[in-house]
Amino acid sequence: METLHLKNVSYDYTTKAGKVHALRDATAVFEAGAVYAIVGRSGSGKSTLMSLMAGLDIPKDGDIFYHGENLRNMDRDKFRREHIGMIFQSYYLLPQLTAVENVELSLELAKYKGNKRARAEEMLSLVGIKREQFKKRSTQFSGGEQQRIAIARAIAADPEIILADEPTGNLDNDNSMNIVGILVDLAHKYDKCVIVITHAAEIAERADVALKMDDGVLKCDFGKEMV
Amino acid sequence: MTVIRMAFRNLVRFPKRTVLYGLTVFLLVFSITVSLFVYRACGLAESTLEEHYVFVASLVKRTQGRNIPLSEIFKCTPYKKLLAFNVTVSEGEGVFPAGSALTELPSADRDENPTDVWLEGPGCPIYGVENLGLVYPFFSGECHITQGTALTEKGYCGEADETVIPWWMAERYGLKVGDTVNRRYLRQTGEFAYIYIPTEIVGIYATSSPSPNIENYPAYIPLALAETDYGKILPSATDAGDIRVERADFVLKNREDFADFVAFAQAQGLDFTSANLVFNNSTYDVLCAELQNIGHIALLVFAAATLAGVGTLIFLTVYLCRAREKETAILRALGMKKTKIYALRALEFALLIAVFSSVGFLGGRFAAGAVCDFVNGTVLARASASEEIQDLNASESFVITMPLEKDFNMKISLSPSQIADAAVAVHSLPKLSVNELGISRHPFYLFMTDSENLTATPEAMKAFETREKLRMDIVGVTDLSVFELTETKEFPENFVRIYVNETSPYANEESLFLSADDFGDYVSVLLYEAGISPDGGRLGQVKRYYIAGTYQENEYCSGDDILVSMEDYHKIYSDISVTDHINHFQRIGAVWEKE
Repeated sequence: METLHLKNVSYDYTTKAGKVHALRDATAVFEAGAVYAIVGRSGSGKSTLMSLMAGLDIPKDGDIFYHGENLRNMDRDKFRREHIGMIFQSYYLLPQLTAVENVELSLELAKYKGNKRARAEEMLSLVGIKREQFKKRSTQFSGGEQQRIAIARAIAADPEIILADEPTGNLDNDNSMNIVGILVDLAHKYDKCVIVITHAAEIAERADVALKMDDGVLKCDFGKEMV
Repeated sequence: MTVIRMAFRNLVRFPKRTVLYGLTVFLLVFSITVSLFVYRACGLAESTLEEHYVFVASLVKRTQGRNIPLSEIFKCTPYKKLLAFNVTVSEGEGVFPAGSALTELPSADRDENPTDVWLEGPGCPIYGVENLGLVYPFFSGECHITQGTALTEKGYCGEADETVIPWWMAERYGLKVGDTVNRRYLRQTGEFAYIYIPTEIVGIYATSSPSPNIENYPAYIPLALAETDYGKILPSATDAGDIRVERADFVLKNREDFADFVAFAQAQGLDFTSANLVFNNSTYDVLCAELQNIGHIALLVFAAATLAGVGTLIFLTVYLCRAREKETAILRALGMKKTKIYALRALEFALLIAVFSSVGFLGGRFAAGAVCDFVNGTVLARASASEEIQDLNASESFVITMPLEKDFNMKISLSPSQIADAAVAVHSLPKLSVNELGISRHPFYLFMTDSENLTATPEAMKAFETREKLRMDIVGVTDLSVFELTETKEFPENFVRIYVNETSPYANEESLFLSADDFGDYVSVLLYEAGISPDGGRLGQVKRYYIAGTYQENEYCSGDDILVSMEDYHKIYSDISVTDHINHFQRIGAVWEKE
């Protein structure tokens, strides 16, 4: 069953140099339980695509559907809080908060009903953060640890879709593999729809589906089957 | 709740940012508070100075020994913006005697021991004053009332025989407020005689720095009373030009009135060759200039602090917002609404501004108090002690040409400024509005009616003297139209018109013979005949007034009161006093709301 459906999505914006067509007539379907890799060179429109899928912006043309409901008509902040977990290359943890507070924050925003602190600690443990580190400020962690905290934050509210923008971009190989392993597990064990934007070929290889962005055009690549 | 918790957490977790921004807010609010409070204090001080400063134009003689006739003073008193004035006079050797006659009328014992009467010492000199608060030692604060009151409203309008005596007289003769003492004058008729008039002590004054010759500190009676006294003892003084004074002081509303007042006096024909008008603006000018300087400095500080502070605050706000764009993006990515993010930022700034503004305000207010104290101890202290003011205040002997300068110890403060008020309040001239009625009352006594024999025999005259006199107060009003009057007959135009109560037994009389004295209250004693004087000088001035009609009893006058217009009141008063129909002080005793 389709989770996210992009239908003829286009997006452009104007710079001093002129109009930039960041995304042209993109059509794709994303489902739960699979890892999707979107690869492409810098400026190809990957981040624009991620921003549109997260509901941070709306397409100039075309539509994005979440379980058949057009994002245009939805409360996109609520959509993001409840159904999207986002992971970034630079982790983007709030430096003033501890590891557990960072995770807890996403639960607060998602109006999580249960014990937020317990859930946050559970998620941190799930991604391999030790209990004694829970109350350390996020800036006191290594890059790999920070990214794991970011993943814990992204999955804490139990979203259906995980959007990861270059999640291993700042990590060494071991940590990268570790993170990729977590993402794959999220899709396959926890039935999440994981969409990864990446340069890394090894992630693309481990994805269930690979898509290529080229000058704003979304194509199926690497012999992976496009859904 | 999330927003509030996050805002507090952010402020606590970013201490450097919090302190930097907070400090800027604190400094801005602190500087603004200090400067505005000091500016306000200066403004308040200026207003207080303006309000409390008694602007006095003094009419002083140009030549030593050539005093100013009262008629010149009457060229100044009609000035419309005149708030109060003072004239001090001393005529007829007016004293409180030192002997037994101080408290006992000589008539009581003249037959038994008349000699004592003649051996009385002069006692305490008496000055008649229109405004005790404008007599220099009282104005400057050197003298102050220690018991009782200053001269009262009733005294000032001539309705009550009262006096304020010096402390030394009270101590020497064991006098206290409420006691009655006899003022004594030397009557200057053909036969020299002393007259004694009982006077109630309403107040006792003392001085903070008595001069060696304490007997120079006189007793004061109201000028209105002195005028009638002089009327009895100076029959030769027929007009206002016969009485001369050293100076007269006129209180004006503000400094700008000085020039206008001079122009008015000039237009009235004041003789500037023998007299001059001088003003007491020095203290005011010195203090005002200093207050304005301090106020300008405070305004400059305010402007500079506001510009620099607000600029820095805007820069910091923009800088801090930009520095937190990443944080904003994260919160957006986590699904936080833009409005909530703005609310979070606004709350953080609001909390910072609220806390540090409060601290800045409190600190600024405290510092402003300290600045005020500093200014009081330096700039204003120097101004108050300036040579210009001190020279004017230094004259112990009170040079007659000296204007009424006061040594103000001005202090600015955050609450309304303090300024030393006059030790004795200045007695202001009543100003009437349309709905107000001015009333003056003076006790008169019925000497005789038409029905009685005007060509009385000496025996009959003696009987008049000894019988109990009926008190008939003359009540002058500024507007006769508020009374129900009945004109009883054709009446000559230029005559004084008196109205008696319609129920009065005298309503049908043609005229009444009125005297200012109840002969039981004073006696005169012939200087050379040892107190035996059945007629010589004993009779006060008796005047005949024709009855113009009757009035219906009302709240203003009743019983044996005689109603007259205010104009006629002044004429009657002039008849018994040393002034005349044209030149007289137009006093109003009380102001009533018209019914």
